[in-house]
Amino acid sequence: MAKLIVEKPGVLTTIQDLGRPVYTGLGVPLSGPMDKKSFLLANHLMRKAPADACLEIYMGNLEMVFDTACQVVLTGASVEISCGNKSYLTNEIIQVPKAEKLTLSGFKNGQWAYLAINGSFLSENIMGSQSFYPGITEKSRINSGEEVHYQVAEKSLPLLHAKVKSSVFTNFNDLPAYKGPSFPLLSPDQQNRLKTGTFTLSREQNRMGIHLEEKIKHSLQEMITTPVYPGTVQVTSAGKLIVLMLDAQVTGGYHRVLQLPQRAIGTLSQLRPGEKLRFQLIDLPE
Amino acid sequence: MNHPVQIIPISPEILEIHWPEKISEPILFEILTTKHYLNEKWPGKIHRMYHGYQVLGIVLIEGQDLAPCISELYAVLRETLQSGYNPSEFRTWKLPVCYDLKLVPALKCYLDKKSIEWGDFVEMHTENSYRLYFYGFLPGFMYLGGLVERLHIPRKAIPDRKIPCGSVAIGGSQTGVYPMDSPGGWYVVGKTPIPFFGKGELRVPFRPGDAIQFESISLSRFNQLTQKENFSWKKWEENG
Repeated sequence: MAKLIVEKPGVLTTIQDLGRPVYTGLGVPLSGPMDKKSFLLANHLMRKAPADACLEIYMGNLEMVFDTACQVVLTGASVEISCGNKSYLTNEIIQVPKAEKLTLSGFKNGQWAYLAINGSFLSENIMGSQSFYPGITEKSRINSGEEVHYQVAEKSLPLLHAKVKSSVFTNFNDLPAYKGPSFPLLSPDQQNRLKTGTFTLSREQNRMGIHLEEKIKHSLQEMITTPVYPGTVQVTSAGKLIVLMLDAQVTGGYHRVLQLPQRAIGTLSQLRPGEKLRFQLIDLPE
Repeated sequence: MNHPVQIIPISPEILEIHWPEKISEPILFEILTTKHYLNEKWPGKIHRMYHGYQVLGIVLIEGQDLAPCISELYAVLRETLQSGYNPSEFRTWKLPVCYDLKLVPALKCYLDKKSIEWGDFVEMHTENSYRLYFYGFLPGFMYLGGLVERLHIPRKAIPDRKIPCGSVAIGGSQTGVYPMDSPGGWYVVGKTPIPFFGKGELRVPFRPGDAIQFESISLSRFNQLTQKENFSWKKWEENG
């Protein structure tokens, strides 16, 4: 069995596929890629099924040695990639020779990158998914010196073909958002702040959620626990705004003031702490 | 079924069915019936479902048109609401819990705060069964209804860094079991030897709608059950 050894694991490297939709009823988070668009592109460039597992890499600074020759591609955050004295760009098929090291720099912009392989990553499949989640899979991250097993596809992909342009993530974004069930309970002033205010991403963020700096003080009554989804924007009793991400719990007791659509979740995930966003409120068809 | 319901679109991918905002068993049974019915009668549209006390969340498979889905869902709901639920589908499970202070020294802290004697506490905590409303917060974490008021206690202001897997705890008006190690603000009052997760699945057979009754066991029985590789629910139900 082929394996790669992760000599430098970066801040957080995991295996992700499209997660565990069947088990939300048991309290199991969905999981899956933070930036789904980049994840799907990685599989697409490798001509693989959309749901196949990729390595998800946070912020870069990675070194891994592949013991068997293979082809890989990186998508998402912008990064300098080198392999055997050659340098590569994202969205470009990389031919990794046997026993060669692949090095990723720290990311230039964006936060999440996806590495797909022409073949497949082999790891335990728990509840229908390879996505790492503490308590469900044995591992919750890949640590320094650990191995990832893989299988190389029988056919190599041609290296010469039209290249997909690398993604560029700007540091300010207008994110489309729908009004959450508790939005109408807010005062006109509080509603207006959500509609027109600029919000800053705080350092407090992980695969479960992203906290924003600016608060919305309110006097809403406590509510009973309801479902929450990736993309749900909660306001805590202290007024803190939390955008729930892919590993978020399935139910929550805080008011739900906004809901981001799928595409906005990926855009948000690529923004860094300190960067800004505005919510662009859109209405749903009646 | 007789509660008024409302369909609320949350995003182009998410629809919610809202029941009146309260915690009640009849509402729980209506949600479960609806969920079951949707799984059978509305296939090919649903990616995944979530539920809380009075909300059923439906995430649609990508690429569906919201407006026709809403009207179809109203039609399906009209049928559902005519059908009744069958309470006999729901089971009562006994869950062994050890309250021995040697195993759970943290229980003393709760007993002191509440000024309750150990024996009285165990009797009150095990006397009635608790309805399982849904799983949330953590994989396999049960939201249980029915804790007697005498046992309520405000959550800790500063949550504990780690509540160990298997801890039975009380927070606010709720009681539950930590299915895995987790930070948490509840008071630990007991420990179950039953593993909640393993071998890629939820190991307990409890489903929303079922009732859970804690059964007090001794420390030696706890140790005996802990050593069992495969806890058999069938044998436990038959022999204790």
